[in-house]
Amino acid sequence: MTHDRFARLEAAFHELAAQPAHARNAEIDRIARDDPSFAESLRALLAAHEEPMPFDRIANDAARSLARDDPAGSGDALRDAPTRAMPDRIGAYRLVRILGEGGMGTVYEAEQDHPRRRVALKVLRHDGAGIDPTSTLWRRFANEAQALGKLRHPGIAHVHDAGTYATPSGERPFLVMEFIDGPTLPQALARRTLALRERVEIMHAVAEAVAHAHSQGVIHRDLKPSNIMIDADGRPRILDFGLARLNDARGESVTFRTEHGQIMGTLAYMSPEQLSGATDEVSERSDIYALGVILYELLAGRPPHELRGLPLPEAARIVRDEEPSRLGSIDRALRGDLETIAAKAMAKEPHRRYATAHAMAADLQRHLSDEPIVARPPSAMYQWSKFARRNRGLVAGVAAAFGILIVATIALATFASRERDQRTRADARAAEAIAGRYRSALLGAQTAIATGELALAGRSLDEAPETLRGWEYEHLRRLAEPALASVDLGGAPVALGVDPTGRHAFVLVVAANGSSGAALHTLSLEPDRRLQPTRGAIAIAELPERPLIDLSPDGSVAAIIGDESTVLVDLATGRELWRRKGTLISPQQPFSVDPATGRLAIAAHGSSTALELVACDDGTPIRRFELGSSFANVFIDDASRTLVAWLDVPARSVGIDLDTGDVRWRREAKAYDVTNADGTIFLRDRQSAMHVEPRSGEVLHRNAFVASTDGQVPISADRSLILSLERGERVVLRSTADGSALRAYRSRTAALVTGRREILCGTTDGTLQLYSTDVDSGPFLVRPLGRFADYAAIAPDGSTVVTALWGVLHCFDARTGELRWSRCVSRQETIDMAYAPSSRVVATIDGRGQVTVIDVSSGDVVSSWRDRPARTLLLSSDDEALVLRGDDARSLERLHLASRSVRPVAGNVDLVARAPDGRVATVSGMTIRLDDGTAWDAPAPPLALTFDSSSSRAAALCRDGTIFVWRLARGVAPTMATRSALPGFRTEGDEGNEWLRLAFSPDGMRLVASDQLGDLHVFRSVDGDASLGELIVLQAPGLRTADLRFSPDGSRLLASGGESALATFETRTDADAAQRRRTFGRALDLIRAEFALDRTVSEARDGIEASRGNVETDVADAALVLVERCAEDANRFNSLAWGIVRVPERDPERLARATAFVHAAASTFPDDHGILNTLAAVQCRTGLHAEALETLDRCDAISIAARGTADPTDLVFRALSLAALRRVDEAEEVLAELSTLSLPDDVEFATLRREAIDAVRDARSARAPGAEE
Amino acid sequence: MATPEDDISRLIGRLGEDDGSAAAALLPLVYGHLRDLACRYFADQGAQHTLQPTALVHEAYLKLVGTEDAPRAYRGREHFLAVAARAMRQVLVDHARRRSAARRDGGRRGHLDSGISIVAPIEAPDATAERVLDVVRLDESLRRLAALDPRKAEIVTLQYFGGLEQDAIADVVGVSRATVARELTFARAWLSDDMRAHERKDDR
Repeated sequence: MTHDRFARLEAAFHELAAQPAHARNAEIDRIARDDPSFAESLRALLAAHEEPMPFDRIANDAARSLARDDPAGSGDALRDAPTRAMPDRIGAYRLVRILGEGGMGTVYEAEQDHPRRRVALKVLRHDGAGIDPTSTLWRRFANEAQALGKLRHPGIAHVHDAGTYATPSGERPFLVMEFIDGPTLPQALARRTLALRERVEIMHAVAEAVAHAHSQGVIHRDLKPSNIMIDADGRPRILDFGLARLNDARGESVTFRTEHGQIMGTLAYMSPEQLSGATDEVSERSDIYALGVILYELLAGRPPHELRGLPLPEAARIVRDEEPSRLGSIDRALRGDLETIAAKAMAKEPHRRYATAHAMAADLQRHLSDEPIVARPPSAMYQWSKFARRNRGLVAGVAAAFGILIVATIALATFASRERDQRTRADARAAEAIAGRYRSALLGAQTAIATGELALAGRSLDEAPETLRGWEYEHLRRLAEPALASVDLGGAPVALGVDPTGRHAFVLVVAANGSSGAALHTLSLEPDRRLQPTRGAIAIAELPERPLIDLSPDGSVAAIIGDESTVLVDLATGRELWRRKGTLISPQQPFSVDPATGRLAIAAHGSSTALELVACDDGTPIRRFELGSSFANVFIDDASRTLVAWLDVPARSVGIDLDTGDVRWRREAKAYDVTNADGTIFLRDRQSAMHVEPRSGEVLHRNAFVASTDGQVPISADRSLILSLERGERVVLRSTADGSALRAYRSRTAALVTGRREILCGTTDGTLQLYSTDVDSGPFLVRPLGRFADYAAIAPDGSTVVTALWGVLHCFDARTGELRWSRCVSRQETIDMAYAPSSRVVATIDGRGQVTVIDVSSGDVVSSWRDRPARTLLLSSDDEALVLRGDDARSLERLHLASRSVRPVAGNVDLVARAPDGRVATVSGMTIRLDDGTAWDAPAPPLALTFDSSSSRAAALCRDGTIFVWRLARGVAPTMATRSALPGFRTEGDEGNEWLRLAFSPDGMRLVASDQLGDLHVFRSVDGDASLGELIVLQAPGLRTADLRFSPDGSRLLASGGESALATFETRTDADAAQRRRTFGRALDLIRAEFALDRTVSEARDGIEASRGNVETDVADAALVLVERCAEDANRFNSLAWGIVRVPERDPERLARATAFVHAAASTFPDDHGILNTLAAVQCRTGLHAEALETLDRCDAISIAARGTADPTDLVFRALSLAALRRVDEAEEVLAELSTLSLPDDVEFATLRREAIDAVRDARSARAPGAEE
Repeated sequence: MATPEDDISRLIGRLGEDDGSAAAALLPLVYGHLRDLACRYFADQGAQHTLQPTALVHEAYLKLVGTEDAPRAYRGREHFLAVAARAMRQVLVDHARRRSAARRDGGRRGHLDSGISIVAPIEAPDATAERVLDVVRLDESLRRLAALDPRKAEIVTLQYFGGLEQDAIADVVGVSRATVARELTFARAWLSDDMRAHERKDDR
């Protein structure tokens, strides 16, 4: 609608609304003759006038919804999902009870109406970024459900129906399945021991069922024992066929949004190809792998690999590379057929497994019938070859195309990658494998951080391939590492206390073996000995339930106060002083020193209405106060001789003179104390929080913020910080001024350190972390400014942020969050805001077109300007603005603010952006135009546009949800460099499209895009990549990203707008980075010194160890790590290549991969016999026989030097290549030589040898009789 | 010792002054309090179901200042309420958006053969869940209205999120009461029509 039309409509509306109905209609008809659409609009407006929307009710409902979801009123970034209640009905199904909750959703038992029967109803969860219930997913879900419905087999639980149901958190799909009355396989095994034969029979039935599904084109993808149920007839039934794919919206890699533990449950059954993320490799054989693992576990009683407690990437590596123990070595009864069947099913390479589940079932059947099975044992040669590949020389300074660390580690400091252009597809494939590892390491770390397992997060990050580490890696490192100190307690901390002097911390740690005892550790908090134990741990037998620790003021006694009992411990001797049933008061300074005797006493319940002071040394009561009501929350301030208690009837806090027992004051607020340095008492009620002088009860200070949780509410000594324990095991540090969350820790216990700005947190993985509470350090998932903004802009120099709400501006320091100034410039909504490139001034434009320019340092208005409204404002310099009008013409105008001149620039402009070099870009439809004349078309209309810092690349996010990056060069047409889809992008409608932003990192290696929900996607944008690779998704607190930028040094990502005006994603500080640079640089020097001496890996390791005396510990450690990593990577690549060329492989794609892999290995160990042998095999299979022979010559040289003879495998491939080259005589000589050697006796070598013999024989008979060579 | 309340009263008293620094300083407190109040009022069941966000805004003012003001501070109070109204609107809209973030396609209907049919979306156990999105649609329509006529959008916000009387609105916006009434009449019609038109588009 145009402005003009709007005005006319309004005028006509008012005129007609006043008239009676018949006159109105006549008038409208008259208008319709000239302008039917105008008349239509008028009619609609008048109809709406008769029946307006219930605006009051709309606002009311919204407020109620807010209240229900957010009862704490805590608007911080890490909110939990609303709690789930079980609904009564879902569609035509009445829910009876919850059967279970899994990674994929919740399963209910339900009753169907027609036909009347019991069913299992599974509501699928899909939440979190990356899983997007758009219509595409919906269609896929429907198709899957349809396919599943077709599966009818006695071994498969039938899917009856599918649908969606609305919940407060969105539409959820559900599936209705056959209800199976019986246990899952693990449950069945737990109930009674099944005989070996029974287990094999079960597996046979399962394999047949899987075979049926495969024949119908359905792959399970998530087979595991818990998905197999045993029904009332003892028949196994398989559940959840194909469901794993429903959660995989992008079809690229499975996004693990479930709890870490649940991931691990599934990992054990995932095939190597599933784990590497190569989803195009996932096939029926992946199911067969899972069947193999299940069989192994059924027979051996334990899984083939022990993966518990390992970080995700490490677990994946083990599954990929390590062979499990043979079943026969675990149990003699399993030797032979069963072990062969399991091994064949679990072969690492898919084509080495059973071709069909039916074949596996057949082998199992044959075993049951005592017939010989068809599978052969895995080759011993493979294992022998692997062994030989270790212990080889390390050569200096080789930088290969992929995966090799040494040179690349220097790049850590500048976040630049060493990857070269990927020229061949084979290279690209191997690179993809590495990229997959990197992503999985990041995701593992992100998940672990979210669940508070910081040590695990650190280990996950260690697994990230070094060549790819960039900004996002540094960001996660920052979150996973403590600022000050950490200690591994060997068990989860259940209670923390800090002594009143702030010099010691006391931690209660429960024994890991589940006994009821615990250990009380005393750790130093002194700056030079942080978290080091100051004495042996004190054993506490029978720890009270849900304990809290409190310490006497003199630090001599600790009270461990639980729900049902209390223990007093003498800290000097470690002796238990006494133990008492019933709880003491919640520990809030219950200690007092009796002035008469000097004895230490503790407050306790004497009766339900009387309070006693009980001597600490022997537990006898010293004094008694009759309070006349039940009470709680007692604390004693010896200095003022006051006892404060909260009485229930009537509800009030009282201050009682300790000596006389008189009540000195009363307040209607609940008492929560922290021993403040200033000796005040903290009281809180629903409305307010205050600090009260203990003796008189006078209110000294009120807090604006009220913590909403009960229980201990520790406040820092300077009263600026308050710690609250919130839902979901979260400890949140808030400012007492406005309640804004400064930071959050996933932790069950935390304590503020008295007298210092430090906080102790017990994390969920059993470590204790000490952080500084200062703004500039410690882990921030996001540092919100705790403000609310309509709009916000970040200075290009990263120093300040200006936020706007309805014309009121605030300017903050971007590093510290400190408010610099505030100014009200308008009483209208702020439409747009922009900094000048110099960062010295900022301009805003409001709804009425008023432009105000403000000096950033002073907050003074520099100039002000009124015009017609516009929707975008850009400053091209300090005094020149570009204004994009929002009216029908969409015209772009240049305003010179000082002279107030207006110059039109262009019309029909949808978007305008500025490149750092000063060029201005305008977008009309799909065309992007720079003001130097360069123009090009995007494949779809751009919604956001940005340039990198050198102005040589432009990126656009387009209407179809794709991000395009172009390379710009002066005088040449722009060429498209890369493209990628933004996951979850909604292409219909405009909702959220005005908040799409793009930003390049200063070094150009990363591109960040905000989506319509305000989540930030970090992509790798490296020249030469065919597509952008998404690395990680960061969740910003507000939904609307008004501005997105990296700080100029690239260390911080800033996102502003929405509910908490600035989110800062930080990486490690520059000081840390510099230190790491130095460490790695010196580690490299150390390694090079070893290289020069041409050592083997173990010799190099020994050499480094020997130098420990001469270098710092972390340098030596880093050197060792680098050496190990090198060897590991090379081994892995070698194994992968060998796996392909062991057999006569023809597929060019697979051969290309093998080539890439072996080259990667060879570049680290160019002189390793095992690798060279693999290389020769690859060359032979690929048809490069001359090259193969050359390689084999090198192999021979090494082999003969080491052992005096040639290696049998070398000879086999030599024979093969010679035969292929028709050099038959030589080939026959080689075979003859082969038979003189002692040969490996495994089947695989025999097969290879057979292949060589046949090839040579065929080559001989191919020669025409009498022909010359 | 000066309490925060004193500061706040002083700030509100200064609201009419043009440098606007008082309004700026008040904003963070307003936001926090509005949240707290909204939650606290609606957390209890019972008679409060008739309370509206507008009442909350008034309450926020009372809470911060303590008592109703003399006419002298009238101008300041209205500006404060205007700002609060805007904050309230955004708080509610953001929250509704976040809750409905997963809900994109509005539950399509479909029909498949071979025995499986997709059941139509069921009335959620919590009936207001669906309606919460109305505030998002209202916000979007208000934005569209603001692009055409910012003053009308402001008036609507002040009325429905700020709970101001028409006299007060007239004062804040700087027009006559009659104009406010007129603007409201048309704005309501335009918004209702616009919201319904977009609702129909979503259903398709």
